[in-house]
Amino acid sequence: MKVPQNGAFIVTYALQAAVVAAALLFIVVSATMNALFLSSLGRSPIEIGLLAAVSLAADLAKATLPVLVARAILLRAWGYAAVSALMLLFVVLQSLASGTGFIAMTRGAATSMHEARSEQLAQRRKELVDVEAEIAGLGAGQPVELIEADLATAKLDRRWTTSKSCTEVVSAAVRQYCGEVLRLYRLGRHEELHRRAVEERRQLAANIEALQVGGAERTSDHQVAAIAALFGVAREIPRVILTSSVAVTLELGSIFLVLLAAGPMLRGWREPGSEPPPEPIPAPLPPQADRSHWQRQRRGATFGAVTERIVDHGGK
Amino acid sequence: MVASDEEEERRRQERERSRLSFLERLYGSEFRTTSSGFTDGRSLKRTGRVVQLPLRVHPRIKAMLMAIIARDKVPSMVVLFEEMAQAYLEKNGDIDWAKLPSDEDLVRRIEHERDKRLADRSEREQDEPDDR
Repeated sequence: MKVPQNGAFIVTYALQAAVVAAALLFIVVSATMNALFLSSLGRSPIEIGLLAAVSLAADLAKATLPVLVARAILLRAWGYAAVSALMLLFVVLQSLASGTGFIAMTRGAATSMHEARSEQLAQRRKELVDVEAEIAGLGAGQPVELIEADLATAKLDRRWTTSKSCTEVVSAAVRQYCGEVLRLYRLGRHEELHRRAVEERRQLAANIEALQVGGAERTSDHQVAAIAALFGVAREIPRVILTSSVAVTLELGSIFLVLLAAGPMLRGWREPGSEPPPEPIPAPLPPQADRSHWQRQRRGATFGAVTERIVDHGGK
Repeated sequence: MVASDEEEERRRQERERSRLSFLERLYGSEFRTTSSGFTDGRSLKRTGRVVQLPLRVHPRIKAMLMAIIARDKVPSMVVLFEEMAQAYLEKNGDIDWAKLPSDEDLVRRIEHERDKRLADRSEREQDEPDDR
């Protein structure tokens, strides 16, 4: 067969190579995904191995059956085509189910992780608001150290001893003294609560900042959000469509690419610029009068029924 | 000058041969015409079987071939060989004509070799009287 000119030759075969490479990639990725998903359903190592093998066999069948179906249709072998097509249908459905399961699993895992972080951020912000309110409600007081110093001074008073640490209030003066001590205790407790709330606020602020840096504030699925906003639909619809479309492209892509790659072979298409090989012409033995005469005699033909032309051929 | 003569002679030969039939070129001579104006019958018996095919066979093969020839009254060993070739092609598939040299190539090959040998012989004959 005459080979096409250089440029056309390179482009044609580069395209063929690219289609074959893409088909192989689709098959490998699809087989891996389906094997991973199906094997995840197994409980024991044997079950896992069997499910993975079933998935691999289905993907191999999915890669070859389209060619067999197309060939059977071209050969008008309808029974063969029907059986192959039925098998292909089952295999594609099974692959689609596995592929969709795998994509949903991975996409769902990624999305749910993102959503959990977003919810965590919202929760921290709410807690911060509560703590801010608590701090505002408590108000700023004296430093704890000063209150503790006042309390220590008050305990030096003799009334602290006579009242047995303000457990026995026997007179109005002692009652007044103990009231003052208790007020100091209350102030100390108040300041302790204030300090704890401030510390909690600091921790919450640091936590919120870390979550923001980690991307929790962003939308969990930009693609879904953008498409949902564009078409004005609920996010669930584009999410389902996107999940399914990845699986469909992956599972059916290999079928179409295999058919595209095998098309020229199946249909006997020629590349543009190439010439078909010439039909072979059988070379006959040179005619010979004695041989023809002998053959006629053996067949019982009448003498002179056929006149052998004297050999005189001037070439082919 | 000599080369020019040789070239001229070669062209003349080519012109001469171009008007001859395949068999005439193969045998290196034209069909003879008798005094009655008809082509000589002996010329018309030319078969084109000019190429030798020497081969040695087992005596039993020879005996079998002879038995076949005797039983079926095959005209000659050559006819039997051609029949065998025909049967082989029918059984094992034809040979593509494109894979064989054309009859023109074959006859040119024979003519070339014949001319070369003729020239050699002429040279030898020219040299021999001097040697004597």
